Amino acid sequence: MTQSSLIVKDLSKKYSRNLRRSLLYGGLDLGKKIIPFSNQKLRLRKTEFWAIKDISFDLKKGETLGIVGHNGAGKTTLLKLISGLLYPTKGQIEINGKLNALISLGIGFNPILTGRENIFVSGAIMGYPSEMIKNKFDEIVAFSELEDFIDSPIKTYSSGMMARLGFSIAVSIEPQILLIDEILAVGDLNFSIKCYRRINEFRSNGGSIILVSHSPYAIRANCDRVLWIENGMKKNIGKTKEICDEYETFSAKKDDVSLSKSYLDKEYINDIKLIYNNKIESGNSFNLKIIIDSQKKLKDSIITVSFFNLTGQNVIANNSNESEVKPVLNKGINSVNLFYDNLILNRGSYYINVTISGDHINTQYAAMVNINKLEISSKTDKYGAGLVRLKPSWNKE
Amino acid sequence: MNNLFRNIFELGLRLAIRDFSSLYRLSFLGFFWGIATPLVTSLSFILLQRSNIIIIPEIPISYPAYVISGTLMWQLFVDSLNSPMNQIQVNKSVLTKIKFPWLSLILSGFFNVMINFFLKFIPIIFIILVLEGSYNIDIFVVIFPILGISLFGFLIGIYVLPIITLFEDLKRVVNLLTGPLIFLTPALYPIPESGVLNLLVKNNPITPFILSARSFLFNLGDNQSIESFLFIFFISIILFIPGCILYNLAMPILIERMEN
Repeated sequence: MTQSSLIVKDLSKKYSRNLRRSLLYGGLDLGKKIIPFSNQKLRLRKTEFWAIKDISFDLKKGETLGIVGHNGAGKTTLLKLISGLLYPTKGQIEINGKLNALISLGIGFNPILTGRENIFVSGAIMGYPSEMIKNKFDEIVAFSELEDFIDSPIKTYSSGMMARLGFSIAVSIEPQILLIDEILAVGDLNFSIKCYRRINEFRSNGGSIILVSHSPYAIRANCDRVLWIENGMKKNIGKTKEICDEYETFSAKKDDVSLSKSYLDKEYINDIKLIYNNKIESGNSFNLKIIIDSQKKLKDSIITVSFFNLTGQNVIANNSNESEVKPVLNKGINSVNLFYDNLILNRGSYYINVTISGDHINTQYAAMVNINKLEISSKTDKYGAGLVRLKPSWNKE
Repeated sequence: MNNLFRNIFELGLRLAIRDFSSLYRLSFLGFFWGIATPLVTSLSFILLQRSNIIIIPEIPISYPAYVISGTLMWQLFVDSLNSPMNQIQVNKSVLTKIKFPWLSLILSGFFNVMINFFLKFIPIIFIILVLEGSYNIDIFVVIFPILGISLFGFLIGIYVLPIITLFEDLKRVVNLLTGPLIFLTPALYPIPESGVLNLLVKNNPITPFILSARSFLFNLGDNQSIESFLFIFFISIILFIPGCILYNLAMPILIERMEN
């Protein structure tokens, strides 16, 4: 039987929405803690709600568990409960091994002090003895790539440099269990890759990780299993691919209501409509028909079509100008087609953004984001990471 | 358990070094600002006394020596009382991000209060003793009332911390009271012979600490005050342990509210 690094059983945490009541309840709860034999009642008091409700799961040794969920779902509260920062209202947490929570980087940094001084302060707060920090000092500085700045006050650092130093301290001494909350996108791309490499080393040495991220790519690339939380409750737990697919489909449906943005300068454009097949296979052909109701004749207009993924990244953008096509929009209804032989977007949901501008791209007449998202599927189970899926030919010489 | 105490000590010391290193780094006059408050208070009262605006009954030492020693002790009490609250405020961002031995904040506060106190106490008292011509071996025993008054301040600070962290109004009440409370101690003038003030100053638990410190500094042989101070010191040590337990119980509840 694989031993568990962490067992969470029926974990619940309640909060009050009202600040004053929250303070009052704090005083009452403290009183109950001091008075022996007085148990905290589990019923919700006025203005209280369950931030976390009856969550159970375990984390096996050497396993990486991802936690996904929308903003306010309770992911960070769950991490804080596991790290011991907050008392659970109900439930149990069993931890087998030293646990380190990377909820924020650069904890305890004082901007006036130098990087060198702050390494010792932050390390001490994380529970590392000063001897250990002394031994690891050169390694921390080398990993952060801040050798030339280590004796400068950190208020002269950029935010990226500060985050790099913070991460280097946090991962310099490896615990058995690591809780990571959305902090791996620190510094530039090279440093981000270094961070993931360090995390992989930690995992291959038998360390267990809980990773909270909004990035489906980070979750898919790093996690063995995924826990999906919605409104403080466990929605599902299981293999990464299954849960991520389910979560992304759910997100796409949920976000449909809120994302219907458009801007129309009625002097030029009355309306735009998009017609397309919103469910296609990755790599298949795709035709987008853009119906434009123009107020007047517009010469030399530029039409731009962009595909955004759910994290807001612009994955593909094309405009009519680059294809040396300058569609003339007549007064009234116009129809423009954009055809892709093979749309190489990776599996997932995408927003299509269409803008119409004058001869200069900054003179914008209209912009709109489609309401119905484009769903790209893939028949194969082999899910490649990355934004697009090319089909190269392999040749061994 | 040993490991926990070592961690608390190491972290407390590290945080104190951090705070002290950064305290005067942006200031040209540095630690002068540390001695400025008790000096200005003392000089104001010396001026009032010299101008006969306040009449001080006969005292065994000069009034400047009396008022400066009293003000330094009072300031130490106020700094100690406010230290737990200040530590929580300063380290709010750390407290809400990571779990660490919370008692190290109290220890760090204690180190800071002590460093700041002795930095002003040693030069000022040295000058006063030279001017007074008062030298005696008992002078080193003054460390006990100093530790005692600080511990007493921390004790009250720890007990009121949970409630004043939760309720801003009570924090304002504490700030409001600490100012005029100096007049209920023998910091600026001796205990009045009679009246309500006599009763209040005499029964103020801070009084024996100030009187004992003066007694040791200037060899006044005030045995009654020394006995009282030892009693309160002993009680403070005993009450400090449940205070630390209360503090540890309260911290997660306070941290939860700090996030709001």
